[in-house]
Amino acid sequence: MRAVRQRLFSAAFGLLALVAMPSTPLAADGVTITFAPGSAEIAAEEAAKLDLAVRAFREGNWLRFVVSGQTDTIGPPDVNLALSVERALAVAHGLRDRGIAADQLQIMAVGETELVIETPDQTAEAGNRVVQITMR
Amino acid sequence: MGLPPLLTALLTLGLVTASPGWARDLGALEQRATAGDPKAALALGLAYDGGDGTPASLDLAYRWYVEAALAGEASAQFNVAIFLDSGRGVTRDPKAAALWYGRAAARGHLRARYNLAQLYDLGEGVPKNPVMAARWYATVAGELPAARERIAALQPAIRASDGGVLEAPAPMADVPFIEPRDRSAQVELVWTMPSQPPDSRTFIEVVRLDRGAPKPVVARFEERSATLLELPPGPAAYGWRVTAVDPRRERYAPGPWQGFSVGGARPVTRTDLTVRLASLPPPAPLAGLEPVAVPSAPLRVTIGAPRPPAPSGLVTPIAASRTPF
Repeated sequence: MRAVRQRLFSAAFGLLALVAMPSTPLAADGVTITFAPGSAEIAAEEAAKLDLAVRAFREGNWLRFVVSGQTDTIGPPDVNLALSVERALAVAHGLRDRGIAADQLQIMAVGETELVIETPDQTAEAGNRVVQITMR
Repeated sequence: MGLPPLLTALLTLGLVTASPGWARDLGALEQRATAGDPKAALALGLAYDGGDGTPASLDLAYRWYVEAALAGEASAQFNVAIFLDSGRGVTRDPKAAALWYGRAAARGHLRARYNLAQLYDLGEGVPKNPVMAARWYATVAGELPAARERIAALQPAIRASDGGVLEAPAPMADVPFIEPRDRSAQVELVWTMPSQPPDSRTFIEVVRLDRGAPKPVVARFEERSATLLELPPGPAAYGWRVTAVDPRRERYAPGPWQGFSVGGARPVTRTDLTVRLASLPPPAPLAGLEPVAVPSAPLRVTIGAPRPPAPSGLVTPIAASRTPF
């Protein structure tokens, strides 16, 4: 009986979800923090994005921030990997400073190996000097 | 990441984890939640939120969070606020989010306090008020470095602002969410506070209405825009209001009276609010000061809207027995 009721619940709210009003999420697809060349400092206007991300983040064991640091292709790959680690850590610290528990952060750094925007080597590209924050 | 242990401990405060044992038995959990166990309702919300032992459903997660939030679970109140603030799972409604952040903040929830400060900082869902933002940030500045930075960043705005005219605070809710039989009643009172002249203060009054002449039970200054009341056990009806006081100019701006009852006491009537409470003499700290315009109609925020309506004839609403809010 309970199972039936639960299925009815799900069916009913599935329909409701379909007709639900459009919403304007604060940070639906995650947030991208952009950095100056060679820098792992978070600028003030980028820090505001961290606040938005934190405001979209619910508490729950399975919901995590995945923080992924990246660079453009200027400079040697090993230096860029280290830079991407610093960028990812800067963002992770920023989230922690806003009350996100350390165990809710998954921190990754990929250097210049996974470019957001494909470019040749030694190309300055702001779109690649980023930390991407996604929520899972 | 090598966090200091104290910081780690602090950050873990208020964090909720669904017990995997519970999550595997959603039926039993739902039974307990439906019977009015707020912890079970919260766990159920978490299970639907994360798809833990069940297909994920934001609608069901939200409904169960609301159940637990109404019963005073701070973590559930915070999650309801996040749904409303972020617009994920429900229509975005920063005003309703401010109310739920306020409830959780009144109970000391760390991130709710930070986020409520953000809303006052940005003027989203509440009036833009750097003083109130800084006060909420200050409650979590010990734990959250970002709050300390925002307090510092707000100082120029606080110094530059003359705060405008004295304006009455607006109550955000007048419904108690715990119906205790023998326990003391905890009631979160939340209001919005517009920018005020410098040195203005906030005064809160709670008056008991159900036994003879109205009897003040709380009359105190409040720093911030939400507070948790501990009321004695047993049925009782109360009126409450929040007043902005400008001691420099010897004026005060009272908000409208609101009513609530606990423990199955009679509901507060319009007469209570407009006649019995209105004829009370001003409490001691306000005596001798000049009142400025009293708003004629109570300001109300509908907090029911984001809750999806129960489809009639299909299922029993979760809280069929609860007074609608």
